[in-house]
Amino acid sequence: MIETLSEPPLDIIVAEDEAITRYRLIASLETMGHTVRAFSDGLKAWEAFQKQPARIIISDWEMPGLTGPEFCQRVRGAEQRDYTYFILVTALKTGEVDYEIASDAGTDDFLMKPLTTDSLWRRLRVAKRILNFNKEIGQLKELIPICAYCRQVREDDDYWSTIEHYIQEHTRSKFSHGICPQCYAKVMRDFEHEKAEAAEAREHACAH
Amino acid sequence: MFPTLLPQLDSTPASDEGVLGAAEMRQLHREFPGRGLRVVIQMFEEEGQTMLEQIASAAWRGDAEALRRAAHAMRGAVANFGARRLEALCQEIEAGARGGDLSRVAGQLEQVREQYDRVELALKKECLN
Repeated sequence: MIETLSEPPLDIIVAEDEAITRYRLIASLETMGHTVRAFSDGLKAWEAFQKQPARIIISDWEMPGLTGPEFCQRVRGAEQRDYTYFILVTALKTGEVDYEIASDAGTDDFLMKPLTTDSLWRRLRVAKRILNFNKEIGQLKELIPICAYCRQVREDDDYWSTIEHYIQEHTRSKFSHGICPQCYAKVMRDFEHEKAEAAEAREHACAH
Repeated sequence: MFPTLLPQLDSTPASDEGVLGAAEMRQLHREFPGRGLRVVIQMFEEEGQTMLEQIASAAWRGDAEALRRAAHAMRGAVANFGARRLEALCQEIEAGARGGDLSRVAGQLEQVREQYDRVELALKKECLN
């Protein structure tokens, strides 16, 4: 049994020209607690997205106005701060070439007809997870308070930590430490300079 | 509306295999309990008739692309009910039209109409259950 959401509802655009599938999508998504804007035409759905972007789009492939991949391509071209997760509804006998076209257009996931509430719910769980990661990365990119001198980052509790620690804590990313060519050249220059200074000091000491 | 159809149900062919899918119908009953399914079926009756007309009209005009689109739309609609035989017929028309071959379309159209009627009757029967 599908549970309704304990999280805030999502604004979802549904683009599907076939009435029954559209009706089923609307009913299922609304039962899950989401807000749905539904269209039977790809172009109208795109216009609605331009007026007010949605975080999730569920679109059929073949529709009047714009096809699903064309719609997706436009969404990708217009994307601003928030990512839009695009799910394409496909027929049972969709070929490999078609999947490639859809992936190239920027489709994130596929939902096969006939739809089931369970498969829809599973796709949305993945979508929400990806959107949350995207949001976190966006916050990391935009709002990290960093010391201009030592590059330490201020945490929520006013504690200053290294940037590696901060990113690891917030994204679970791991760092492997290496050296870039510029730093390598600088380090080697410093090293050679120190070596020359030490040799000079040794010569100086011997002379006395 | 539905009770008047009861006598016709007796004329349904003995083999209902492939007319409706059991799993798909169970899913629909879950999604639309009680009278909810009637709304879906009424929707299909309206949409299905239009789709049939579009298939026939495209076939009559010899418009392969319009025929492909109409058969594809019908296939998507009946997939909701697991109507495999009708889906397969639409798939055949779609494949033929994609390759520009409309030579068999008259016979296929007849089969689509016949199968469509069976699906429609079976759906009405579902409503009465």
